[in-house]
Amino acid sequence: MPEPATIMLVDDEESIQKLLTYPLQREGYTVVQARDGQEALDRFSDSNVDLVVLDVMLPRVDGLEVCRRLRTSSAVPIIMLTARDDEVDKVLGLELGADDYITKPFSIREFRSRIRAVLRRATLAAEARGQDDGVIEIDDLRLDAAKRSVSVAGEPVQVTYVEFEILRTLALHPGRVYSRHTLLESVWGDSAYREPRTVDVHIRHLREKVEPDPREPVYIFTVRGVGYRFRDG
Amino acid sequence: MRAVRSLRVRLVVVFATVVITAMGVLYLYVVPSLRANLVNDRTARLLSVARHQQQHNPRLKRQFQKGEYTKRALTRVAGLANAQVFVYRVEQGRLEPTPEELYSQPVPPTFPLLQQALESPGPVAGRTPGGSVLVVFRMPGGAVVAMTQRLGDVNDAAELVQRQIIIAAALALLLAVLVGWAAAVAISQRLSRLEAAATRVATGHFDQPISDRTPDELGRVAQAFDLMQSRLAQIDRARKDFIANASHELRTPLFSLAGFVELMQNEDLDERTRQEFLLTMREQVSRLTKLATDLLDLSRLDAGAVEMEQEPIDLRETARALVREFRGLAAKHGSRVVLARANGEPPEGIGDEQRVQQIGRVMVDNAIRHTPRGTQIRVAVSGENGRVQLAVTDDGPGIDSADHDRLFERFYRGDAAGGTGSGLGLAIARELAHRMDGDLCVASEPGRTEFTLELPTAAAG
Repeated sequence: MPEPATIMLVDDEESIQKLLTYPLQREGYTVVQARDGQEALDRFSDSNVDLVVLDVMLPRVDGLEVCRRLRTSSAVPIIMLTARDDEVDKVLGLELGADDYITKPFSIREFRSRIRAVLRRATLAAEARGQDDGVIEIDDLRLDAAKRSVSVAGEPVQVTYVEFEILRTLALHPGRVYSRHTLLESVWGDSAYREPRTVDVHIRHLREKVEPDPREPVYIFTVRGVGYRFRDG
Repeated sequence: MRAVRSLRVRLVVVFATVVITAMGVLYLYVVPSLRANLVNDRTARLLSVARHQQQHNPRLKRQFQKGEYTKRALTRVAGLANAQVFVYRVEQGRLEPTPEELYSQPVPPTFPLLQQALESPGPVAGRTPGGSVLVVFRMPGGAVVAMTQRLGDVNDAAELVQRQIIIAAALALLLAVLVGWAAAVAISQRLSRLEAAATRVATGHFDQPISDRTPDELGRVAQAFDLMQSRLAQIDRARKDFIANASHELRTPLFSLAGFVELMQNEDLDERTRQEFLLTMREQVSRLTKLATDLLDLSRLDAGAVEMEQEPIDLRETARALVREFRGLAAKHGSRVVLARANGEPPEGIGDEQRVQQIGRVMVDNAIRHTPRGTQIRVAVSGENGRVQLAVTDDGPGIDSADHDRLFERFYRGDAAGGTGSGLGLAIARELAHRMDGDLCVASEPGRTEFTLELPTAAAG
């Protein structure tokens, strides 16, 4: 990256702001702080933000709502900070489209590693946008890697960054079985600190978007005990 | 056996037993007595005809005295009584049948009742061996008249009644069983719903009311059950919220403490940053300590384990102590705490002095922490409406009116979030005030926010 990335850190706890800001600044990132959802939305439009770290529980406008509103206008990578594991579904959810989440409590080391991974992916994706990766077409499903767009029967489908990466990885090698770890690595570069079951959540959302009947998938098949594969032929 | 003891079977058995008993009584007691009544009735009528013929029919008497009892005369008597009539002649003390016999003899001349009639002045009644009613009377001229009446129609009537009773009994039994079964099914279905609901409650699910609005005893039980369930749900929700909130409040400072420890271990920190981190950590520790105290206070309040003194309190003294205590903290925030001059002589309040101090601290502490620098905070005491008030007023930006009610909720922090408060202070303070028969309320507009603790006075108490 020519210039250091700008990261917006949204958390209502002063001590946590301080705690997370320090390692980010140490890495050379510029940190923009926001204490509540409204402030986050306001400051986001003012500054050129490369990554948003967003706490779920926020006063005024909560984190989920902030994520949803950011997504309507921007593809900026978003990492959500959640208090509970069972919020995974909501965070990675259909309409929210956060790119990653970290459950509190987490270590500073893990936090750094996640930030790096997401920024690296974002950079790679930006570079990939320049090249022509070609188009994959299977039946009604059409993936355009250059435009990073997916359509089913000619109808464009909104998929998140992670969902697109998983779908493309699977579709590039129809029939090949991918484990959850492999899929995580293909998306994030490594699978450290990541829970394999997040893949299941992404796959579920993908099926809801591209499969004619998500309960009877015709594109993405589950290989029990192993992972997933795209249908061959 | 479970099936036999079920409510349905038992109800049906009870219904059937009642019907069978009722029909049995009808069949075994009412029908025979009906028959006996009919027979007695017949006998009485025959007797009355006989008495009339014997004593009040001079023509017949004359005919008998002459010894001419003609077929015609007898036919008339027979027609009157709707009976068969026979005449016996007395020959040397013995009875002989007469040639004017209309029908074949119903009884032999030696039949005891005939002898009895011979000796009796009036008519006598009895039954023939064939079961017909028999009335015998003496006539002048040495003759005995016997009248018999068959009971065939009476028997027919009785049999008809019996048959109808059996049919009715069968129908009633069928109906009783059906109705009993249906009623039992209806009741036991409602009971099963109650049972299922109770089982659900027992497993911790309070979300399904029975909604039985029938205005009977079971309906009332169901309504009481629904009420209980909704109260339980409320309590359960409050408990879960409390635990979730408490654990969130505990985890946040712990998480930040753990993070700072990690930073201090692994990073090369300059001295200033180190000191800054240590300060933040100390704040988090004191926040945890305060939270632990507050949680303990709350749980003791909830358990009713907080002892409250009922002693006279001079609130002016409390106010002075508060101002002394918080002057330093206020100065650090760049604000000022002042004591307002009391208007006249406010009466003494009644309550627990320690707890009143505690409430006062929450009010002043909040007024300092949640307002910008340069805010002036007044502590005032007044006596109004037979009560005594301790008011803490600040000229800060005010509290959004939407938050006024929620301020006193546990863990509610409004937009003041991010501070070091746990959101428990006002909840505890108000609870304490209520325990002293007092109240704690808020009035706020931009530029003036006032929290008032009101206590009963010795005079009012």
